[in-house]
Amino acid sequence: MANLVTSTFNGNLTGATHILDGQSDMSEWYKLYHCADAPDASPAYSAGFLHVRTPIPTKIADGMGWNPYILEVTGYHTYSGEYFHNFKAIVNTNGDNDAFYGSQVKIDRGNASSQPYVYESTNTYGGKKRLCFSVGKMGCCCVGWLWVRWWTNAGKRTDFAWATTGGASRTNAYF
Amino acid sequence: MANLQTTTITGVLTVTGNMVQGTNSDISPWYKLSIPSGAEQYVHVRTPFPADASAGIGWNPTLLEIQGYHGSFSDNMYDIFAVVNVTGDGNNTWYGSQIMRNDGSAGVSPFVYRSGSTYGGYTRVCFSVAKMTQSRTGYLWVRWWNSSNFWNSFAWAIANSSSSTGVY
Repeated sequence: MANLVTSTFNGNLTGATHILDGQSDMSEWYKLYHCADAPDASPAYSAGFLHVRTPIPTKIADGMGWNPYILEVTGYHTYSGEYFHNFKAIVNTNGDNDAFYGSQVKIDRGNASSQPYVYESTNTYGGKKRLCFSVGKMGCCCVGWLWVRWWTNAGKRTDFAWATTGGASRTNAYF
Repeated sequence: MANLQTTTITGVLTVTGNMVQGTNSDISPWYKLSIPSGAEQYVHVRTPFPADASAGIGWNPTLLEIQGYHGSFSDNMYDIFAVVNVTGDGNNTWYGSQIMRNDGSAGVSPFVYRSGSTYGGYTRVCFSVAKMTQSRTGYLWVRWWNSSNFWNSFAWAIANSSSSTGVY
């Protein structure tokens, strides 16, 4: 890995995978496909939900107690943006008793179908519970994308793998 | 052109041109345009983004994002998201002006359309927004989410018009 000091690039700079701004302490926007898995095409998921598991841990032991951050999500599902997502949520864990603070969606500029919901995973992944959320989707495996980033704690961006799955419920923890 | 592997810059990074975020994000760089002086009611922008299925964007919508203002008191403020799409089944139909979010000033009337002519072999995604009819300072910033590889596929253009449609 190269280490440079203060540098000026005369021209364009392209990151093959990503460019991080350390001073801002924001993770890069991470792009996810909105068609999660084959069962998404099932009528059981008509007007269902896409659930996303992020790499961010949620427990005090992982440094997250009394250390809130902003989760930001933008995206759409299907060709006319029938589901348009554009929200910010405050995520926090109680530093006394390790309790998850719940779905604190503070700004929601998506359309009425978006219905964002933020939760803590039921299971552990890599030995830790992870931050998850759900948004509405069409009952088809139609094209759509989500972009996700968080503000503060950007260092958790590679703590574990991302995952998505479809679900018939908005609030059940699918992870 | 230099090719670096994973690199850490300890200090400040300055890029004189554009900074493309990469495949993890797939978001084009913000592009800044100055709104021309003139008494016309609308300003039109032609983006480099192609609007033809033959360019590989059929059935693969893009989010077009627009920020900006016009006027010394931000009389017109722009804050817009639109979903841009063309059908991919051979008929190459434009999906129309699908404004998903319009949090700017009342009356900015965003309208997204496909150019009537081709530029560099493709029709291009264009849009118009209402402006002040007095000559004032104003800027627009434009980017899109998905298919960011088209960020420099053709030249940008900007022009005023008395109509919200049909400039390009």
